[in-house]
Amino acid sequence: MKESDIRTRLNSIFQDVFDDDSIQVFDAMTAKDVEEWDSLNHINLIVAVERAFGVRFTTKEVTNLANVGEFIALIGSKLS
Amino acid sequence: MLFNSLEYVVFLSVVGCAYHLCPVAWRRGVLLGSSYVFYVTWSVPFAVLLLAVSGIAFVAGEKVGRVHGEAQRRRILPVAIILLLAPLAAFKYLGALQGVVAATLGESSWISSVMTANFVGAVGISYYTLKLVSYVIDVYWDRIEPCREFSAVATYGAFFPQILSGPIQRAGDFVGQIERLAPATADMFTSGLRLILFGFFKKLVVADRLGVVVDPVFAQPQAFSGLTLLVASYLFAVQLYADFSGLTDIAMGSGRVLGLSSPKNFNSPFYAENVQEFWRRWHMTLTGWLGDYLFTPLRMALRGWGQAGLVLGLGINMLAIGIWHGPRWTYVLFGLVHATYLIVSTLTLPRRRKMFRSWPLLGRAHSLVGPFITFHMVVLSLVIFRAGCLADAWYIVSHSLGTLATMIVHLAGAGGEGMVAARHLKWSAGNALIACGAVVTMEVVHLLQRQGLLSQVVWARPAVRWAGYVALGFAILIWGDSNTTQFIYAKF
Repeated sequence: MKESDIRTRLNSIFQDVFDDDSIQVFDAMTAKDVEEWDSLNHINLIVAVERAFGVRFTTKEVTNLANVGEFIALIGSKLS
Repeated sequence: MLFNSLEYVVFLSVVGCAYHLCPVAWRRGVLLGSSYVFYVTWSVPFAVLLLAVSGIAFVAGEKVGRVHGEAQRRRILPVAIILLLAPLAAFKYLGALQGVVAATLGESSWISSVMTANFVGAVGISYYTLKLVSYVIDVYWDRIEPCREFSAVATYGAFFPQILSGPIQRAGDFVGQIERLAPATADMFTSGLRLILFGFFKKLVVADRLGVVVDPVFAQPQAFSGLTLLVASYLFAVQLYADFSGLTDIAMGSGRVLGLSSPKNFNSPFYAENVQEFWRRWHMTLTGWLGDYLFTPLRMALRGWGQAGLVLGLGINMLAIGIWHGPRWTYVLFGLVHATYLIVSTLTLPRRRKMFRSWPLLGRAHSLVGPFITFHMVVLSLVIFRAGCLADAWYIVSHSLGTLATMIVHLAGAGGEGMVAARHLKWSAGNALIACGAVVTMEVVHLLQRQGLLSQVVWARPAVRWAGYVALGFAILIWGDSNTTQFIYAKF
């Protein structure tokens, strides 16, 4: 899957999880950029991504993500 | 040594001068030495314990970070965490079992002696333990490199501004700063002094002034009327916030004076629209710590369980927040109440959002009513938190709510009842006015901080700035309670 396709699908998952259609993900985006992005919603996001892409993350991978760019790269590495 | 003492002002001044005037290579030594001098004023034996726990964290970090092979690292981590948590469990929680042990082994057994050890001496153990545990886990998760020098871990654990009540800073953030050892810029130094001044105002003028009327009510609630209990419940919420956030401001300000920044612990929690938001704004470094090191691994492990996993994860996390405060049933119930709030709120959130979208007027009303409802839910939980025992908590809640219901039915009589409550609280009109004025001042400053106006407008004008300093200084000198030795969150 191309990076742009991952980004598009991830964007729609973000909008779904945070119930906000105005969200547009970008590489440097972090939890500080989305008011409701706390540990609870972080896991909701992870579970939604795992379901949508058919991948599985470890706790270490989940806690080490610095920004959305790294998240897209991680999904890409799992799919390749 | 308490923060609100002349000794601390002198101590910070001496440490600040020594830190900025000594050669850069000595600065870490000044931080470590001064932190242990500060801690030794509480207890020498517990300073040795702090050093030992820091040693365990350093060795564990080394092992986890340097050992090759995931299986070996995974074996070391739980052993390290158990060793780090053992002193906290021994000095904070085993005391609750002291009666059972004393009855079984006798009062004079060494186990009983350890259990009855004066916990006040182990001040800060709840904070430095969490810091050092997070250091080892962060090394395990490859978030940070293990520290090469023991002094870095020891300084991180013992850093004196944060030892009494946090904030619980992460190792990556703190150690990075003490590796650079940059001196405080002029802006950082003055903003640090301003935070200390404002922290003293919140602690001495707001919290301690409210404490004078709140403490006797919670000490013997059966001696007071329902309305007095109701008023004291609201006042305690404000007292706790002013006390803890004031102490945090003094800690953050002391760090800034030395050129070290600390994370925020509060973000206007009483304006939160729902309970989830409240926990994103209240004691942020503790909730962040538990979110990262307890809730996330737990929730990841339970993610196949669906809603049941969410309920269990939230329940255990909030129970941990309650029990972290100490081995008391009131803290357990406080945690369970918030677990219930969060579970119900989280599970109903999608439906509520759908409803608010369908009824925009309802959505707008909710943004106004939400903070009001959330504040009252928090006040109710804090009554349980503050009460001496579960029976007292039930007495206060039932009598307060009974009075509130009666007042709503007979609204006209509320003014007269209020005067009676004020008399019971031994609150003169002057004292009430000073307390109200102090609370309003605190919230105006918080509002200006939130809007970013404080630094841009108020502090940018020298006349306004100095008027503010003088006003806060006089308020502290005239209305501050300088005899208090109570810091609510320093005992946890």
